Amino acid sequence: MSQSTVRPYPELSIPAIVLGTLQGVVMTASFVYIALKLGFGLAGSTVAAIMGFVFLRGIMRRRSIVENNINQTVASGINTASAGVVFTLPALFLLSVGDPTLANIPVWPLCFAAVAGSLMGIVLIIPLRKQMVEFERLRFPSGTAVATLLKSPGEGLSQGMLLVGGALLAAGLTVLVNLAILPEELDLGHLVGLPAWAPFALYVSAANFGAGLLSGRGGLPFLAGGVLAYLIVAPAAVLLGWVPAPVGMEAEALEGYYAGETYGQMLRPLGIGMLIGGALAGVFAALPAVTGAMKSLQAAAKMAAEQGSSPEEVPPALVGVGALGAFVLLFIAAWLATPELGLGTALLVAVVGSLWLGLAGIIVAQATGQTDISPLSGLALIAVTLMFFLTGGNVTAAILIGVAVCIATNQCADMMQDLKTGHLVGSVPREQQIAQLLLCWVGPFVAIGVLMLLWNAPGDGTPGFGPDSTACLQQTGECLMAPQADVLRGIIEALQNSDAAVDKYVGGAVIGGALSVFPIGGVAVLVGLAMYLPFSITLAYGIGCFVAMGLERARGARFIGGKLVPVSAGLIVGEALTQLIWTGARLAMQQLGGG
Amino acid sequence: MRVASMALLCLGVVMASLFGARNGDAYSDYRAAVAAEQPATLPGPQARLNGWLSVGGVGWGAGVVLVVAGAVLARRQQAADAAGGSSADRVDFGVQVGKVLQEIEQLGALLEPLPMDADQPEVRERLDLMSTDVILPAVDARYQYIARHGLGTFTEYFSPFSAGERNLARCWSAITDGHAVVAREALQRARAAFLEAQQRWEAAEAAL
Repeated sequence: MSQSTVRPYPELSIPAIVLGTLQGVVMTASFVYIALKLGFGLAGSTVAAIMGFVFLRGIMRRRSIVENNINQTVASGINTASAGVVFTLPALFLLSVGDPTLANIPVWPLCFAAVAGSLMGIVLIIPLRKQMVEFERLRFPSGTAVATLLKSPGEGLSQGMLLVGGALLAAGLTVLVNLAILPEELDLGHLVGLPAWAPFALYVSAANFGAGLLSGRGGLPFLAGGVLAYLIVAPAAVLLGWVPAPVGMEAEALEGYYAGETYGQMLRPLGIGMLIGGALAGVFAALPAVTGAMKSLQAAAKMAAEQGSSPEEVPPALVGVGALGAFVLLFIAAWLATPELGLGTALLVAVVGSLWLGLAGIIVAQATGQTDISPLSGLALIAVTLMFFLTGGNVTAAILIGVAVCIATNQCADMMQDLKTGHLVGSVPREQQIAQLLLCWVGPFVAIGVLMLLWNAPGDGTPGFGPDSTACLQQTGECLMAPQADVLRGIIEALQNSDAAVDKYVGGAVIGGALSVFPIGGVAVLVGLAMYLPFSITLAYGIGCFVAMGLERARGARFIGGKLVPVSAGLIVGEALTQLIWTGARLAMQQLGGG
Repeated sequence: MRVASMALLCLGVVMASLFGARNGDAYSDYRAAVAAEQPATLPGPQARLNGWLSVGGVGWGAGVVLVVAGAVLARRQQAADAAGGSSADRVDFGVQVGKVLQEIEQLGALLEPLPMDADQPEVRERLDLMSTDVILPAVDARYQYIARHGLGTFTEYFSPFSAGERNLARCWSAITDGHAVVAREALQRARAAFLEAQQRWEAAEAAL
């Protein structure tokens, strides 16, 4: 065949962008609704990759793995706004019910802040790609799973069967849990008589176990952190009498009280502190690598300009312009939303907000890179707390920055997952980065638009969602409880009473910083994350790590790459898809049944 | 030294976490009173910080010192391993990259005569094997290289190494999609990147 018949190899193409955008918009709108209804968000990469198979590869007969990677990158990038907006912004709506001074929701400044967060998340991740994907080699289990899915046309039949087998296994397990045939947690500790404050339960989740399988030895500090928190610190605190018993509380209730206090008032805030300290120290420790990565980007851009070719990553100058643009947008948003604070405070809010946003982005990217779990709500809480005190208790400014931080951190985690996928399938990072930069504004507008629509839906001035909405008061099928936002509302009300765990944040941050001296990167983030999460998740993940290590020792690295990776990817993909279908079916049934 | 460093680190992290998690008396009493539905005064942030330091500060501080001591010892151990070769599982980066370059030459010969739409499962299989058997050991040994050359120098040769690895993945994808020409181009870019990595590694070794 002659060279004249050579077809272009599509990558950043119009079909990929159009399909990705359409999917992203639909997913964002529907996931905002789902999160308001049920209290949890859903990731879109897997679904987008499968739809890419159907439309790009199936219907349009376009054979390009890297083009599907762009489609999936665009769709999931847009969808990051859904969780970012829905976990923070509705709190402002809910608070406005009891506080008329908050009734004037500053829609445009909120949109600006959300777009600033989205843009900042992307420009932050571009120079960190080399550090996290290439140097630290974080596993990004979901990114690895999507890469396995994208590569499935070229894998042999046996690997395809393993992927499908894993997915079916996960689907079966998820259905059994959703039908309550299996519990969400296997409480092994209860069986042997352990008290609730020394929990030893196993989270029944194929995806969580699969993430552990993909992480192997690298995930062990996460398990160690869980053991430390729940089998050493919590029991010791209770046995040493550090948690005083409330007067008159019965023994049975006391056990639950101890469990709640050790987790909510000790371990969780200490874990957040460790995450912050670990990430901050990690930034300093990684400075030579990040500087090296930036130099490499600059050199590549210069060489490409000399040779008249395209560089493999977007040039650092564009990253700088993007960061500056995002900062200016955040400043304008803060100033427009709260003009009473003045320009100086708005500037301070934008500076501190941007710095925190950067740090939180790194924390989330590292946490998802190693465990697939994101401490999003904890970091948004810190953002809201910081801004609340910085602005002298201005709720609007606090939530505005909370929205930006939540979207940015979600964007960081998602984009790094997509860049990991791209690394594994051989995409050009620049193409993914350009696609994300071009479309970073879409998700925030869709998510905020849907939220406004739902809030104003009753049309009679009553709230459209939350516990005070007519539908929830009357307990009809249209009730959108917005549970995450209700939690944030409670936290803001606690902040208004000056209830912030400053001691734990400071103490944890110093421990996290000290742990970062250890030569293996990311230990502090893993230990902090384990304290922040319930032990059942950590334990199930840790068992996955041990299984992977055992298999590697017994069967070798080829077995891991050829057999275990497709099975693990199947477990992650299968649970994600089943959960999505299940949630859709459940909502449809509720609507049909009217309750 | 390895056992001592881990022992210090573990003891330190247990102590620091245990005392770091402790609440000051005033805050603990406040929580108990709230749970018992009795009137109570919430200590402010400064009072809370002082309260914690007074009951847990010493244990927490001692724990942090032990963590740092353990971590510093672990760093020294790692540097000694990298320099002195006491570790049996040292992986020579230059040798691994040399193997990759050899295999790329052979794969190039396999790909050269292929027409545009050809699928070549053998190329994919060999790329997979190269990834597992040759590239992965070098990736897993990256902490040895960091300890040997420092993080800054490590990034100079590991960056083109990773670019080469990504271009091998692109070669794999392109051959799967029936784009033999793109696969050949990607293989050539991978070769150039691995050559650059090899040259920079040699420069880093020469500078030691």
